[in-house]
Amino acid sequence: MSALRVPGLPRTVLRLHRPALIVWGAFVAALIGWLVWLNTVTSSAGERERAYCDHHETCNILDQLNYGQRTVWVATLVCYSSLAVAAWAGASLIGRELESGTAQLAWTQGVSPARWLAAKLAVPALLTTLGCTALVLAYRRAWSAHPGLRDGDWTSVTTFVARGPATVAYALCALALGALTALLLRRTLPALGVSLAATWALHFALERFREHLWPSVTRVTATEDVWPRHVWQLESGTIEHGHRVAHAGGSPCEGNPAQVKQCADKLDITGYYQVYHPRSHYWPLHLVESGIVLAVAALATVLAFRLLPRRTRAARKESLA
Amino acid sequence: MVEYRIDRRSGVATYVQIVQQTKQALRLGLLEPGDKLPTAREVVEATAINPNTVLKAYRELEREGLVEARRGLGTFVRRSLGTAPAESPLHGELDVWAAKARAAGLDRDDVAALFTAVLEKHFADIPAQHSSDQHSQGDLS
Amino acid sequence: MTDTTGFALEAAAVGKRFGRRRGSGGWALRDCGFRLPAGRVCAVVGPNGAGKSTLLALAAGLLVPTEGRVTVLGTDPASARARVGFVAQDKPLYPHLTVAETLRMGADLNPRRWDAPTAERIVADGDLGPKTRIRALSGGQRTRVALALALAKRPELLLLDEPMADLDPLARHELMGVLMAQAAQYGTTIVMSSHVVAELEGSCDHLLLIGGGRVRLAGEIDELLEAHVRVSGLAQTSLAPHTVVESRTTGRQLSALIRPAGPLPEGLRTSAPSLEELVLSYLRNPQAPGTTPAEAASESEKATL
Repeated sequence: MSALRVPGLPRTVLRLHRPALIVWGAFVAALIGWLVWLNTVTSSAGERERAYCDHHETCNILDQLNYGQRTVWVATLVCYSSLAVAAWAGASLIGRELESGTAQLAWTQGVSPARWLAAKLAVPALLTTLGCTALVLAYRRAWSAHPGLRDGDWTSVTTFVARGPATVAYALCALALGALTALLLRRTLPALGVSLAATWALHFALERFREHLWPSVTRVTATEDVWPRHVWQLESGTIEHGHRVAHAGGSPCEGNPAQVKQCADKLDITGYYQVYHPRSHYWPLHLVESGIVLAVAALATVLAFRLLPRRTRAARKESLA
Repeated sequence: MVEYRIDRRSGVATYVQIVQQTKQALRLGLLEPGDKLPTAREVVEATAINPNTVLKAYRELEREGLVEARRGLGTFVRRSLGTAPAESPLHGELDVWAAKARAAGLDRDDVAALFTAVLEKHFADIPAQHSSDQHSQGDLS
Repeated sequence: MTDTTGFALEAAAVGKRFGRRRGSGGWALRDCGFRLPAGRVCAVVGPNGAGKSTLLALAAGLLVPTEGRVTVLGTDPASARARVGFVAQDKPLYPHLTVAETLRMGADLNPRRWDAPTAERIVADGDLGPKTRIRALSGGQRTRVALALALAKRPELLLLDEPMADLDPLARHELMGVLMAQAAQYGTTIVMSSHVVAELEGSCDHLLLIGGGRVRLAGEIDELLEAHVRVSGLAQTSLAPHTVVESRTTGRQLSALIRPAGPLPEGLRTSAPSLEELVLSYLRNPQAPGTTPAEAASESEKATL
């Protein structure tokens, strides 16, 4: 048996969903190609521009902007690729088979519903994991290549996801959610819509609560201070009467040092504080988010298997009772 | 080789029709001792009837001693039926008579009625070996 | 050749209820019981909505009975899955696959039992190009591919839900020939549902008549036909001790279909009913009591005494 011989059931899944496999492969290749282009052609143009700007008063920054903006676009596509996976899983992978009855064809060709669902989930899971991993690695490399040209920091919404395994987690969760909605609704288009909405809602919820996924750092200073570099700024303000009072700009007092001191005494400001996540918190935050997403994926998978037509063995036990 | 034609509307049981047609083939010399009958599979593939029916018919023929089943090889004709083969003098006389009847203007139904009457007259004491079903002779609706 | 002395399919007090999906908790099948010996060709007949598809789906392991038990080839339907072939009414196939890919899928899904020459022969007999996509095939050609998939599995039991529904007469005859050849060569038990009785008469030797979710008739066709008599006579004739399935009085004449339970009264003309007449009489009279093989045998014994 050659090493490349794929056993029957997975081979059937590949054969059935060949178009999707091709599209996914093309998508991954295109994004990686685009990153390569950005980091060779666009970035060298951008660096030339920057060198020019260093020595001249007015200059063009178009290429630099392009680099920054398009790199963010790539991050967005990588981060939200899970939405496409969810839509496909709900509609084409599971939903259409249940609606048209071809799932029953598989079940009466000697494959039990459980094995069928397992293969249907495992093969795409493997291929999305491979594709997303490739995208994440390529993106990480691109992101750290030209720090002077890029737009935004490690805290940007989509960059945050695209630089780590959360991308893979979201894609796997999208598969599970798609399968679950398809088994619930048994119709292609509703399953497409609902799984898309569910995955988007997951992204949205985690984006909102991302900052709370790991304890933040609070720094108290006697005088107002600038933010440390490369941190995720969460909150800052003054300590008045022993309580923290948040201020958007950091301090309510402005003006020359004498005015500032007068204002501070009047308000009884005893210190200044800043709440943030330093750069070292990237991995803890990221991994906690990935863990949550994978937990949702596991839950959805278990529920999906529960929804399969209950095996007839159960009926025999009931009638013997 | 014999080909079976099953008429479902005739009121005659299918297996009986196969028995009759086999005997007919034996009489006409289309089947001779030593010939192999078509397998059940070949018959049902062509006629779309139940294979058990064919097996029942072959068992009936075997019971009458006309065929024998050899395991793994098939069913073979054992003996002929001894009535007039195609080239007997009776056949020739009937041929001449039929030509005369046709020339006289008789059609198929007239000839059949004539023949049935003569058959009843001469063979009344020998019952027909086929069709014990009462109403097959009757309603031709 | 399979040599089973057992029953290929048995149902004991089987009922199936579909909850909210079919009106207000309607029972698709209720209290169904029958036994089908192996090696038979069984016709499942009944009007639309009688529960034929539900019964076949239960036997195929796609549904679980709400009550009662279905036994397939001696075990529960899920365990027998590999030995049972099923073709649903709409013959589901993957439209974007070619014929050859569909057959290869069958080989992949049934690694131990696949009979590739049979599948290819059935497909080739219909002149189907292996590279044709399924969506480009006509109804009869799709049925042929679906049958090829089911037959190449070498099933011991084959369940077909209205297989001949959208076929022209030639295709019907050919495919029936294919099925009968399968039964002849391998002794496969075949269960076919249809609502055209006439074409099943020559091929089937067992009947299952389902009406209103219940089994009305079950048994060998020969035995059932022997157990019933068509009678006609004067209108006042009493049919008392016999079971009357259907009776009609027009003017002075009475004609009826009965199950004799003893000698018949004088002056009645009798004839044997055809299968179609038998089925129609039962369908027209839902309140007539049904019969199963044991009852039919004992009643016909009484009639001949």
